[in-house]
Amino acid sequence: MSGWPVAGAEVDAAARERGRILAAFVELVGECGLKEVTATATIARAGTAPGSFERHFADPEECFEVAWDGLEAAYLERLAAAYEGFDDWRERFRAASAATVRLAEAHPDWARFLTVASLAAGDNGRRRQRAIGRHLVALLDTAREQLDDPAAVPEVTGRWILGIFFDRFYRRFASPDGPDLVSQLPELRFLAVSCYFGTEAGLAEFGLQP
Amino acid sequence: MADAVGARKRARPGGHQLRPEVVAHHQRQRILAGAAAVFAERGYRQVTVADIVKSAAVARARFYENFASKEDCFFALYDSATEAALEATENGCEGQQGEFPDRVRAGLQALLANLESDPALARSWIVEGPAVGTAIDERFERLIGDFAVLLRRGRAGADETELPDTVEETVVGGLYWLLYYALLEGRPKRIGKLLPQLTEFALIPFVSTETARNAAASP
Repeated sequence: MSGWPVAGAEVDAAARERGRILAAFVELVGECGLKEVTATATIARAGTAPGSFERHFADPEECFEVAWDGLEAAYLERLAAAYEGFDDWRERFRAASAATVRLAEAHPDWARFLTVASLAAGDNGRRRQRAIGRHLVALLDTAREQLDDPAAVPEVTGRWILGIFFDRFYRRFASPDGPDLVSQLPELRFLAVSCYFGTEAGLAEFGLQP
Repeated sequence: MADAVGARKRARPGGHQLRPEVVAHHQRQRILAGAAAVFAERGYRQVTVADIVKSAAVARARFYENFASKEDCFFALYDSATEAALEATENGCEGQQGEFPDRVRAGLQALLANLESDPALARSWIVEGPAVGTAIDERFERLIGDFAVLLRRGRAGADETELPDTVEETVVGGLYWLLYYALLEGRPKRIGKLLPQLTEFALIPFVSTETARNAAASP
């Protein structure tokens, strides 16, 4: 189990219990899908007392929403920390994509929950994915600020770049033995940079460390 | 899948002259068309076998003569639709005698025409496929792989740039999720407008930016 992202070291017993339930829930949703996960199975996996699930959540749907909020916040915080301080888009992008991959590989339960399991979780999962997707596309599209002719780059370029990353994450976490992401990074960067800055600029990404 | 859509219309009374296998095929196609309509409208997770038989206007027993379960029906729909999409794309590429960029554009144009011809079916397999969960993974991998082979075959000899073996799969994956969001956001009738952008994205790893944009802009 990957644990749960909790801000600050000092948390009370109720927060610790909540965190254990959320971590167990995220793991189970990744394994069986939201529809199959029950409060009973979650507390059994979390090792918490009977009735503990209901103390924190009305039902699995609410737990899903809270789990999503927690993981999304943890991801966006690390993403921002990674790219802050860089003026050049390519440097920001390298730092942000590497941080994303590192976080996903360190916490496969979280990554599986946010990518594969959420798509199978019905409208809520899709809605949450679309919302964070729009945010990431806007960040990607800041590349246009560095272009002489931003309109020459297709309108949906940010969405496409998100798509190539999402595809790799989806296939990495859909099966236990999906191809590792670190070795894919130069290729993903090549495609992304090529779209905004041209193929020559993109090819330079192969000469850099993942 | 136009075959299946047409099949939703009931056979005329007095159809007893038809051979049993023709009737069975007709019923199966009708069930698949009904399934595509409800999967697209309500989403895979919400749909029941009862919804499918109601949409297809067939008896429940007919459904179970053809499929073991909702999932089995969905996989039949998925396999049929993806095969048709791949075939349309391949025919589009082969029907174009030009260079690699022209063939890519023609293939994508044919793919988009295939999707636009039946928006419910397109939404069913592209958007609802991942909603099935892990059971779809093998099919999804095969789908991406088959389209990647098409792209790799098309560019054989087109350039000397050494790129990773996986680049075609990555490009196809990106195109898939771009179409996924276009359909999810309810723009099935405008999907054809994505052709120039999809063309540029599919080409840019393999040719110069100028060549990719010229192919994308060609009428």
